[in-house]
Amino acid sequence: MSRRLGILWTALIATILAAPIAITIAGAFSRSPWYGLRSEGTPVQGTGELFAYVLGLWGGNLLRSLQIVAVVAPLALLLGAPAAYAFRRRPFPGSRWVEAAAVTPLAVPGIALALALIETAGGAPRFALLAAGHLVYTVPLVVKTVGNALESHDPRLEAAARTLGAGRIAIVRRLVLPLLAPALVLSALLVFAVSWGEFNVSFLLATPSVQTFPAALYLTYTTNSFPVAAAATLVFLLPVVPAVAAIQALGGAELQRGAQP
Amino acid sequence: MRVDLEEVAFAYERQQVLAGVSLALADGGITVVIGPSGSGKSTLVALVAGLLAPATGRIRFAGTDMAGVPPERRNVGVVFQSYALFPHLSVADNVAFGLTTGRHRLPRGEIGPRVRELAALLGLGPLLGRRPAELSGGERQRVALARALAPRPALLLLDEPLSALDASLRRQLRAELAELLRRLGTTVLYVTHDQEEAMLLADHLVVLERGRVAQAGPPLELYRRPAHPFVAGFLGEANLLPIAAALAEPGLVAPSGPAGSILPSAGGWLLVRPEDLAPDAQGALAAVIEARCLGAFDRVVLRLGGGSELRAHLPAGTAPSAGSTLRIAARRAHVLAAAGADPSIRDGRPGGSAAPGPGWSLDQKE
Repeated sequence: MSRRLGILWTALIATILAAPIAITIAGAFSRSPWYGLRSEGTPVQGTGELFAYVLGLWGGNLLRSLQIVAVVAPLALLLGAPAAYAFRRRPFPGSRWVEAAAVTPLAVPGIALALALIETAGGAPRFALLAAGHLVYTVPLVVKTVGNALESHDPRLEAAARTLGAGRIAIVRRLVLPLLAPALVLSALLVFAVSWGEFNVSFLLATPSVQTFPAALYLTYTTNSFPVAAAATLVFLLPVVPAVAAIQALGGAELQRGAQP
Repeated sequence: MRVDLEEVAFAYERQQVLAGVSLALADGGITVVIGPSGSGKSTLVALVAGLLAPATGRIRFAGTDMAGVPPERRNVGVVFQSYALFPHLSVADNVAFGLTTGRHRLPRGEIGPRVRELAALLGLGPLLGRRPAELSGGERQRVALARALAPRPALLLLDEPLSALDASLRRQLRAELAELLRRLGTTVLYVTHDQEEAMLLADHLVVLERGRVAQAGPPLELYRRPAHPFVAGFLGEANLLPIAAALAEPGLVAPSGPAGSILPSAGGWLLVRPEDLAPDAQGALAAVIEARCLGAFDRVVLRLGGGSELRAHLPAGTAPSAGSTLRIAARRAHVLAAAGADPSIRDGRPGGSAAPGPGWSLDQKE
């Protein structure tokens, strides 16, 4: 009985969570006159034409978001992973506090962060400022994920490799990177998901010429008809779904592996 | 390879771990360092391996000062307490690791034969394709040993290699390990807190107490003639009686013998091992407080006339029951002329700040 109740409850929650997406999908594929498609300047006929129209409107922002992610993901890993390694393997007096400070931005409102960035580096190119805003939110994720993975491995492994003749480069290449590979892939996916969907900082730092896709989504929700907004949302979600699925799969495997002795 | 440690000291976060340790590992010999947890044993291994640098003092390999030489260039093999097997590599790749990098890198064609050679030596043949997570504790221990031996190290360091295993497996592997290490003839530094392991393996035994060498020498010498109450208590069970109290029990030790005249003035302690006590018609009268048969022998707690308690091991089934009396004498005894020793040493725990001193022994019936 309680099991059946649990299934019912889960199904209910899932339905509630999935409903907006379902309605969005429906909006992008159904043609009803009262959705306001006619209010768009150009008449749009079929579904293909609708998506082409949406991409024409927001393609530039889509490209901008891809550029941001392409810059932020590798940078976040390059900054976060060595930091995590230092915190876990080469702790220094006070490194716990530095680590805590590195994770704090996750709890700071985007608007405050955006203003802080404009205050300190307002003259910098807008793209760099946007990337910096995304890094502040994503580096902590890398530090945490890689740090947890390091915690699950015996620190003596590196000592063992050294006594077997391995130099520092060999240790990184043959031991640290293979052991951290799942955590690094997981980090990259998390960074992608967060950076791709980041709105607060992006919206505040955006200029008409440098604007990410989520900021554009806000515009489309406020100015366009529902089918156009729905289609834009679907385009936005397209890469997110496989990323989230991969995070789910990898995250589970990583946790299981960490639990082993 | 001969290894010398000269006044090696190490402190960790202002806590003194090793204070002026000097010891010599004979070429091809097995040196066992034994001590309770916190005595600095693992630190000693890390220092010799080059994973830590001593604060002061020198470590010499065959006469050469190793200061500044990193572990990867020391030619040492280490078996860690946790084994530290590489979890992402198969057993074969773990064993081959030291042959594929650094100074002991072998040509590709020679790696396989060397791995198979070690697999045969340690009985790893059927395990070569497995991952460490799929191995039992004893199997992991053997893989760790094979991995450490593969590059033919001049010095093998073993840091409590059996402590992660259960008792029966430990006993079995202990004997196998002793046989293997002797056959290999490598210079070995073996660290343990287990007294039986130490006695079985050691050519040379070093007792470490709170970062200092309490005593070093042949294992049996340390067992029979400890210079320090701590050593007496740590290596096996010990009855330590104040000299005056021991002499007040007529018949416990024979009045004849060379030490007879020294005893009253010397102060210090008389060490009697439980297995050296035996019933004797001329012995000291003792009340039996407790008698338990442990299978191989009877363990008896006795109280002497003066109130001192003794533990004796008597042949199984020969102990009188509790409440009766018994005349007992020590077949062998040893005098520790250590002032200020703490009698709590009897429980095998370190006592006060007893200074090591010279010892005298009485071998009465040998």
